[in-house]
Amino acid sequence: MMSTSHSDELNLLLVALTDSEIDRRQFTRLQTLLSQDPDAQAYFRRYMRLCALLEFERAAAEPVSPDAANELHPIGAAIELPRQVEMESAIPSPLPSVFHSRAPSSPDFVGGPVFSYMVATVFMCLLLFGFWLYKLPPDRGSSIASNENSRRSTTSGEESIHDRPAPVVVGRITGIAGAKWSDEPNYIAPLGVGVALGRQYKLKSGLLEITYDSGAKVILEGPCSYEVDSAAGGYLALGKLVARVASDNSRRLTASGNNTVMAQTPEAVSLRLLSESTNPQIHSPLATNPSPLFTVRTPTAVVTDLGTEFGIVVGEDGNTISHVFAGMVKVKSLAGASLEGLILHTNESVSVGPNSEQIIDLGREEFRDATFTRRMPRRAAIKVFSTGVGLNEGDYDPHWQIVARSDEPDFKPRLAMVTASHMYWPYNLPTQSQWISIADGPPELPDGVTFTFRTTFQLSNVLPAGCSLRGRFLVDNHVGAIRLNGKECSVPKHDFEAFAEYNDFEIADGFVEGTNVLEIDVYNGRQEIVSGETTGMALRVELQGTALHKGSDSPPASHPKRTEKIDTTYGNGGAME
Amino acid sequence: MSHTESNSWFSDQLVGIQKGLYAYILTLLPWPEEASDVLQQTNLVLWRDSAKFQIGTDFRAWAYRVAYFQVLAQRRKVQRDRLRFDDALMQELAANMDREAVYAEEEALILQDCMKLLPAKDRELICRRYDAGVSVKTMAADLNQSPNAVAVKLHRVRQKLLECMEQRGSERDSR
Repeated sequence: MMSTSHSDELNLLLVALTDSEIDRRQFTRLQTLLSQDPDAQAYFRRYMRLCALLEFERAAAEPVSPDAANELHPIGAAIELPRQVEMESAIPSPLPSVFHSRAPSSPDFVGGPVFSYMVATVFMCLLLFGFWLYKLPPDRGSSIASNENSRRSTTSGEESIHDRPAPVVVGRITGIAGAKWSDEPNYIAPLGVGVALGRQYKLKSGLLEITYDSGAKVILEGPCSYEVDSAAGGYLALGKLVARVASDNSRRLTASGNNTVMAQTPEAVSLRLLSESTNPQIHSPLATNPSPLFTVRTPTAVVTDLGTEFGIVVGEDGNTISHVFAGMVKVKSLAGASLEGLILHTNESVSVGPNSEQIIDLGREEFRDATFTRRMPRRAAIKVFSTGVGLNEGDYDPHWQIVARSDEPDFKPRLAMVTASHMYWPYNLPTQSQWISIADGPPELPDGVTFTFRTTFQLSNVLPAGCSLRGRFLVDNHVGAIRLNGKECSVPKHDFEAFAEYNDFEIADGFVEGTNVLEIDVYNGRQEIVSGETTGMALRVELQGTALHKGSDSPPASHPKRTEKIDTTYGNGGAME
Repeated sequence: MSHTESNSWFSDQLVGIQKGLYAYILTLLPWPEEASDVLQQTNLVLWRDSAKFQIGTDFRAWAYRVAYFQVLAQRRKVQRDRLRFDDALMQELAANMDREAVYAEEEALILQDCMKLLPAKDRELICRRYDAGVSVKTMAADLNQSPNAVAVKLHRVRQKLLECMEQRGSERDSR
């Protein structure tokens, strides 16, 4: 943290600013101090943050009872009308609690503009919220999903909405990372939305985490198609998932008499197996009395969790690969008539083909490519480079190049240089961004020429669909194109001579693992006139990027490769371990 | 259920950043009444545009960006008769506040502790100014002192609070 000891002058100016009447001369002086002294600026920011917190904390420190507030301030009572209180208890308030908690206790405040705005805002927001409630269907997230991304196998599409039974919610969406839907790419299911029995999720890319009410978690990885067909499982038609049955769940199952706390002991497994139905189709779609064991069906197999974490990949042909990260699963082939299955232990994998009764044990080598995402990825910053950061005017910017100019076909790419700002440009801010060009000066360059600036950044172990890059630029004269990895991105509209106005842009796709190339074409000169004159040309860019880093885990290296492939028919007792 | 849940999520996010958002705005526009106005306007815009927000992206960054534009709009609205920081300083302050305002929630907790440690007289002064919202002029009249003397006293108490918060923050960091 910054030191609080600062010049008397700065302190006097802060006194004038916060509790007195600062005059123009004092304010100008304050601005100069803040602009020139980073320490002073840091102190100012902390001081203003404290002032803001004091304003906010006053209600928390000494709450005023509604009765007292009403008694003292009739206008204040308007906020707490019983009808509104009733509404707010029925619905989540669209407004931050600050609007309600900052009960005024002074006539100055009640009569003041802040209070008036608060009252106005409360009413405006309630109005907006009411309108929003009126316009939206009762299940916005689900309704979009049910139209496009999911189907309900027990109800036909022609069924009247009024005849439709209330959905049975068996879990929640608890994580989304770069999810694109196969049918509706722009739809993003809100976090926390209920997962109804029969819901189908078709992901084109990205990740979706479902947490069942039982505590089991499933991470779907696009492209995939998964249907929630019971309270303890689902049908994976295509793609990849990781299922994890939490210890809490194990305890919950214990309570029902179907499991024990020692979920992984042989005794426990035996008990669980005994409790399991002998019917391999136990998780028939929309089963209302599901098995207590978490089960994933695929076109060729039924994989039943015996605790605690496993992954499944289903190919286009229905071939199912199952892998156990921890604990045990039982895999049954649907093609076989036998009722038994194969027990897999930690780090073991099997493949169940579509046209045979065989369960093929896979060694680690064969399984190496089938990496799974076992934890939802975390969002982290991408290391991108704003122009000229930390450099002096006249320095080359190691992160930005000029790679082409339209009037020189043989132009050789070179590093861009931090240039002093023109009198019409905003000042350089070395800690934030600076102007760059082909030379210091700023250089005078021919009108009508386009210069291509380039920067690169690295992405590794990320979900490309979960990356985003936000930026803003200042330019003399005009950005004609922005490209990420050769793909054109949207360029904000901007004037040819609005040198001081930041222009925001955002890139949400086109990212790749490895090196990414961002290029910006800068046109020198005014829009319609190519005068043959030379004028200043420069670019200044500020970038921020975030990416979803995979929590991916390959099977552990310690996985022992079996030298022999067990060719066993479904239910071969000899395959049971 | 889903509409209220998604609404609730958005609402929670919005509530969670209020202190930081107000601190951000007040730093750029250091006039409390205007800052409050801009905060309300920002909340309205955020709420109105909630459908545009992509879950999974940075809510705080989005909210601060909206707040920044609301500050700019407010500046344009009343530019002529108000003292304003210039664009360069605004940008610099905004860039740094982006990073720092995330601590506002944590600092609010520390502030509550530090308030308890203040001498009673100092705490009373701050409470009158903020809890009761009494103006410096009124306080000065009540205390039979000049407004400037009261303003300086208030400033010194704030300095004590800053020092306390700094110390507590350091203690926390060292743990």
